Amino acid sequence: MNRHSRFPLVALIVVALLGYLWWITPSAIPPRPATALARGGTLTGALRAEPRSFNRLASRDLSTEVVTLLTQGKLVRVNRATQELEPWLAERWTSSPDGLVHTLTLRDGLQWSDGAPFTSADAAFTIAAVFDPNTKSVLASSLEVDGAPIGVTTPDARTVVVTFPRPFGPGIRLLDNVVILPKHRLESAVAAGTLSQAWGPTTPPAELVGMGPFVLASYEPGQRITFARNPRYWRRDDTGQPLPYLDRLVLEIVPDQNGELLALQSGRIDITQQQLRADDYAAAREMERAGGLRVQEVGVSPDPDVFFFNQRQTVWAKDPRGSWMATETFRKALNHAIDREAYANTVFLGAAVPVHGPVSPGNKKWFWPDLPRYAFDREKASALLTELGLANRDADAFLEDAGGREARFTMLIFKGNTGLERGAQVLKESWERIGVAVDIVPLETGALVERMLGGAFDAIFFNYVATDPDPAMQRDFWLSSGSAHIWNIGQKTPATAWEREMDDLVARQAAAVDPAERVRLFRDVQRVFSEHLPALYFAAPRLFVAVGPRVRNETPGVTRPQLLWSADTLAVVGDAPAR
Amino acid sequence: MSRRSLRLLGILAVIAALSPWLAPYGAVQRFDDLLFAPPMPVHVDGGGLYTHPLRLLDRLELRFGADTTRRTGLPWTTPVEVAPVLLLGADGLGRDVLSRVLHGARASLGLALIATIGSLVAGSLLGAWAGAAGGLVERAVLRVGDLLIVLPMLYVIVAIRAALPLVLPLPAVTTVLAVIFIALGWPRIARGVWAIVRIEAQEEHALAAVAAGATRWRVVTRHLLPACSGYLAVQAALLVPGFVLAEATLSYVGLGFPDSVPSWGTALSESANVGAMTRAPWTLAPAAAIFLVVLATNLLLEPSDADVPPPSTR
Repeated sequence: MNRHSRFPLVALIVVALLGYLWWITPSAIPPRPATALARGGTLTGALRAEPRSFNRLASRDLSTEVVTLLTQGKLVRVNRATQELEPWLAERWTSSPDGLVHTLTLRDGLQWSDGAPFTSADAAFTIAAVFDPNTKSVLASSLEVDGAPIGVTTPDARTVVVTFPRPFGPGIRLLDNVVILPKHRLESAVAAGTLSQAWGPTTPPAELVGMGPFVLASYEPGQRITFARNPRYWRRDDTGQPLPYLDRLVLEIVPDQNGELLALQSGRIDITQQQLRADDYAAAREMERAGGLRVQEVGVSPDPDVFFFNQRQTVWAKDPRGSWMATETFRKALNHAIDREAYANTVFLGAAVPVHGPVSPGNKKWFWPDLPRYAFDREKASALLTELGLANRDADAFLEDAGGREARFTMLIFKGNTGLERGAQVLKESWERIGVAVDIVPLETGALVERMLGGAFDAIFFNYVATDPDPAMQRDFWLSSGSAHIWNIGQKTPATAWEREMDDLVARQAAAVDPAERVRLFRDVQRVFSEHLPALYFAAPRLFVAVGPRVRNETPGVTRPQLLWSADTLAVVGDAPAR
Repeated sequence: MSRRSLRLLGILAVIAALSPWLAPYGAVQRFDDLLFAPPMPVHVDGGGLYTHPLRLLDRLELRFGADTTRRTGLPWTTPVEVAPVLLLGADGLGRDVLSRVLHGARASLGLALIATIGSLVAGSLLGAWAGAAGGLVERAVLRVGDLLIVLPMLYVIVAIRAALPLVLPLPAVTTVLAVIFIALGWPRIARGVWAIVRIEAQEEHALAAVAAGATRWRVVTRHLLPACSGYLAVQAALLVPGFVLAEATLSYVGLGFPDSVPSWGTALSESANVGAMTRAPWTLAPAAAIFLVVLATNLLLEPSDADVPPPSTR
């Protein structure tokens, strides 16, 4: 090619690039007029990962949870919008004054999706299956009180009596953890000890039976899961119209959040799996102004990102940095060095509220606004580091201990999470300003979790998602023996006096049935946490969800899945976009 | 070879070398109120070139407005306390994209240059050795080269990175990347040099040197390798952009330089978010810089007017 013929080629490339930018920029979609809710239509959503199973007793991944929320039912459920417990398959319940015995009455005339009657025997069967040693259910610990299983009896076909081994503050709220399985379909699997393998991803959809608003119509691995209306679903709306409104619900498998947003913007999907990232808000608002989307603020996230050091004494016994890195004073110094307002502005573009502990304002019932705080004060932070014997002993910008070791640690974060990456960068800069060096290492989720469980890390900054806002339902996090006691997992005996104190308070809080007493005890737990600061919290994002213009009647909650938790009341108007 | 593209490459190399002095701001210097700020247009009037500082209108919606009541000069003449001047806009952490591109040039082009020189030296020596020695040496060099060519390199790099400590100091990262790139680059060069040496060894001047008692080293360095100079120049022009792209790819996926080291790859990883890409396309500026390098080196390979003989006249 000679030089004169090159210009058209370059011009073509430039035009192609401009065309691409125009193409990926959201285009205006004319707004549709609002219409009354009506049954029918197909809503398309997204799932970010394949479900590992259709059996909630066998798998705890979010995709499995979503699928079972759509196809199965619970005796009672926690409303994700109000965070309150509400009747579901059980229409009412009574509790004994000592909080040990709860009697639930099932709705009359309930039927499984295959037409078989739903009775209390199904509930008893499911609870027994959860505790069957052959099942090895992932839900077993969530249905235990102080390590002892709950008991279930069924005086008649509509009555379920749940007996707790000890008083338990949240009461039957813990039943929100378990979906009820059909005894008539799975009895043989339990008898054979194969329930954990039952209802895997290769199970034909016709074999799956549930009490949820939808039944599985088809599963195309790597592409989509299609659900059809369950004609025997029990629930009706306020006007007496049977729910769900939708004829079909399709969940496209879109592993990447960028791809998910593009699919929403292009109208290929109507809802996303979870909230918008702060970076995506501006584009979504722009599309909303053009009528292509609706953006809603849901509230403050109950799960702020958390930073914590490895506090296993066995690790620091071999590492001389432990003499300062594993101390409360060091953590307090780092906490004083963070300007939370600036953090919220940078990491969440201002759409966040500063937090000082694990319970954010998004947890309406248990947030304590008077929790002791660590003010942003770099001088105080530096003074605390000096107390630890850290001083700048050479010409660089960082402190060293008496042995000449640099005040430096490695912070692991999830790879590909924009918010965490940006947050880690802000933390690193903030701490470097007081002379503490940080190396950020992004890792794949599996690799990071493996290191966390194995104790092979200095510090981790990640997002921990609690399953329930009630602290007694998060004992895995609070108790020193818990599997989610992230800074020092699964201790045989409490490693520190304050963890022993916290264990005691958490146990008492979980056992208390008086609501006021529970609040008071949990404030004590938070006070101990704040004094000893095993983990640091900086800001909780305000959550926004975006839905396509066809979607109606959504009731987003602050916990995942923000929209699909109430799929039976979701409705659409107009035709589904062609795939 | 095109003289203009050579000039362009030279300019890029000088920019890379002088980047710490040319960049208006530090590579990690942040402006908290200018996250994703757009490029500030430069105006000109009788007073010379000037810009209007940006005002943050809505942080969450990423809306900015120019403060037309104020004028500032270009970033090199305006103290940052007066107002940051972002000619190519800012990234998601409020860092000046122009400064990131300039600082990144050093790491990206520097690494590409080191890796290219290393590949040329290793490939030339091994190829010439194989061509001149023949036999087992020839087979060993060529087979090892073939093996490296067919290895799925990304997986190899992932495996190597997994085997190394989580945190590596910058010199170690640079060395590891350079070694990987050289391991990738030398086999094709060695194969080309080997072929040229095999042919050239049959030429009369080489046979005469052997007959005159020249050592093998002398024959190789004085009579055979000089014949490879044109081939090596072409390979160098292909390797430089290849390594720039490889660095960008590896850093983009988190296997190259850490984020704290400005390179075109790490700067581009900011654009991985589709929202950022559509709302702040200026964060793709490092891609434009890579495009320039690739374009310049490709044009370099085209014959210039001086290389094309004039049509013969009778």
